[in-house]
Amino acid sequence: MMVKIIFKKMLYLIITFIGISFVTFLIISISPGKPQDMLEFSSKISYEAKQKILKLYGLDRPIHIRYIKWFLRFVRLDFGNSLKDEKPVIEKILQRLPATLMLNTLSLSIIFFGGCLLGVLSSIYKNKFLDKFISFIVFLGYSMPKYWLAILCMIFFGIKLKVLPISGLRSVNFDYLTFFEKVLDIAKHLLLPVLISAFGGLAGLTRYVRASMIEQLNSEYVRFALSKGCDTKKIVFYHSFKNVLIAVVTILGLSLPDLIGGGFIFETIFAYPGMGRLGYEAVVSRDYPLIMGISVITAFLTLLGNFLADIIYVYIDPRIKYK
Amino acid sequence: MTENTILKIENLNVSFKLNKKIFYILRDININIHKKEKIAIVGESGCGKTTLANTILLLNDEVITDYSGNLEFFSTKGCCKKNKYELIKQHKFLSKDEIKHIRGNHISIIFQDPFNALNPVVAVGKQIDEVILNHHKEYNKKEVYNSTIKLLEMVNLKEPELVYKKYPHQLSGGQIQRICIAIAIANKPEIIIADEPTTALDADLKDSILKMLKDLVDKETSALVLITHDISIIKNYVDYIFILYLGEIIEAGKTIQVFENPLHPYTQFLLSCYVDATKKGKKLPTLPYDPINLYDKNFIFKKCIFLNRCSKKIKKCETLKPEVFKIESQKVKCWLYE
Repeated sequence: MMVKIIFKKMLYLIITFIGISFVTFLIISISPGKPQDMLEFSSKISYEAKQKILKLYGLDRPIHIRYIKWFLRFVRLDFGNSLKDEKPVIEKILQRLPATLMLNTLSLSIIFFGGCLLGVLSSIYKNKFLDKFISFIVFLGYSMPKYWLAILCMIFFGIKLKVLPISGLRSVNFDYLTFFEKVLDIAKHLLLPVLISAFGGLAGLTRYVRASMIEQLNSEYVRFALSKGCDTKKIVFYHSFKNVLIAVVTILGLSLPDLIGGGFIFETIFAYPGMGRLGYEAVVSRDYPLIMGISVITAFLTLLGNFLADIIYVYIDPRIKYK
Repeated sequence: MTENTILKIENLNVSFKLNKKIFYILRDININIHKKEKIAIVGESGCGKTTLANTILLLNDEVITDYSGNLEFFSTKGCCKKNKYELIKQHKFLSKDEIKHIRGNHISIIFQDPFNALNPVVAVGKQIDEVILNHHKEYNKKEVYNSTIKLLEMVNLKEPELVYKKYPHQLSGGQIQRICIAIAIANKPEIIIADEPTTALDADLKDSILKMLKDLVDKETSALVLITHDISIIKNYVDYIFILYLGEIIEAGKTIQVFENPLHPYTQFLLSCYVDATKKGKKLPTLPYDPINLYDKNFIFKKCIFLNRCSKKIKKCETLKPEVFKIESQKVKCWLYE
């Protein structure tokens, strides 16, 4: 039964995926600015040469033809080559992927553990000082633009105090360090980006967990559990948290694409060698195959996240059984 | 107060503070419950029945609730060092640890709505295990499991091993209410409070559930506090009745006496609505509804609470709050019996 359901869900996934890729393709193609713009204004290149280049990349064909061509290559997992340096798109992405994965896994973990913890604390001390203090802190993080906070922190920790590096992922002398020093070096580079991006993302989940926990704590089964002689700790962490978790899994599924997508501006500020910066560069230079590659992978992960959340539901919520 | 008293409620007042207004939910409640006694608290919606049930276990929202008066519990179980617990003494309560010890162990409760009473994501067997484990830390897994299975058998659930693993949504309302009853009797408490245990159930189930509850209460030698708005169902199950009206007990007495000779106009009225074969085809009487605000101090502390709806009122009712008059063993709060 389960196999059939998974199969059906996969089918939906594929259809949605095709839709997403087509819309993305359309938007990129009709947005102003073309890859050949750089050539257009150069007097050194003849008209014939320009036409040759356009033909080479297939840019002279209509959109739907280009899309079908792209799609036929894509199903063979061929994302094409970058227009900029002729390197295969997939190679470029894979090169940047680990750094982004590391940064975002760390910051997402902090967001989830921190958000759950702060949310639960807030709900227990509802409307008391601690609750208000937590709300203040998480909203401070939420309302402050990340790029602005990043620059402030870079100035303070990197330039004034000189305790943390301000950009990149490795120091110049990385190759000459011992293993332990290498780990420390990466940790130092990661500290600011991880903390700042986690700080900004904490508010949503904290408030969500708080609201959902308060709802659970006011429910009838909690009163019944109290009447059985359970203590608050057990009610919060055993009875209610199990119910709150169902909601958290939904958000967790939706956050999965963040693992890869990365912040375009954020990574650019930290000169962080990740997907975000790659995406930024790709958009600036209208590198169609690269943009498509990145967005397709992000879209795929979003769908995969939802799909996984659907599957996980079955295990944590006994009420959900797909039929 | 006699030797056998296990719960003594004395001049109990409960008020809620909401939106800067104080609502006097329960006023001057006096109830004594003796060992193995079965009492009913009867009243219409909003009269404070559930608040009273929650008050006995201090389950009301701590932030908004204010108590005064005394609520004492006398333990007859040999399990604890002391046998007198002052649940409420003036404005103070029992310590958190002692309340935890009493809940589910000495006094347990069954709620009105079985569908929401159990945690939806925890197997029902585990939820019975929990109440046993809370008060018997010395039991091992096997012992707890066996007691749970035994309890499931006691509440007439077939295939207890199968039911143990089920989740609340897989069971019917009647089955869940049986599980709630199993939880309530698990530790053989001295008092079981049943807060409208059959309201949410189908009509044909009501009698069987009540009968089972009564049998179990008798078997475990507990006392039963049955809270209900339906006076017709309790006749065969309880020894003593308290009629609650807008937070005051207006009449109390032995079940048979109250049924045969209701004193308070409200009780008389309630019993006139008792449906039986002789009334077939006739319309049941109704009372005009004229709500009183429970924050209106001038009314509720100075006048008879039933004044607006009473057909037998005299002048005195409007100026003075009625005292409690004793007629044989019945008590009534009405000037007509002065």
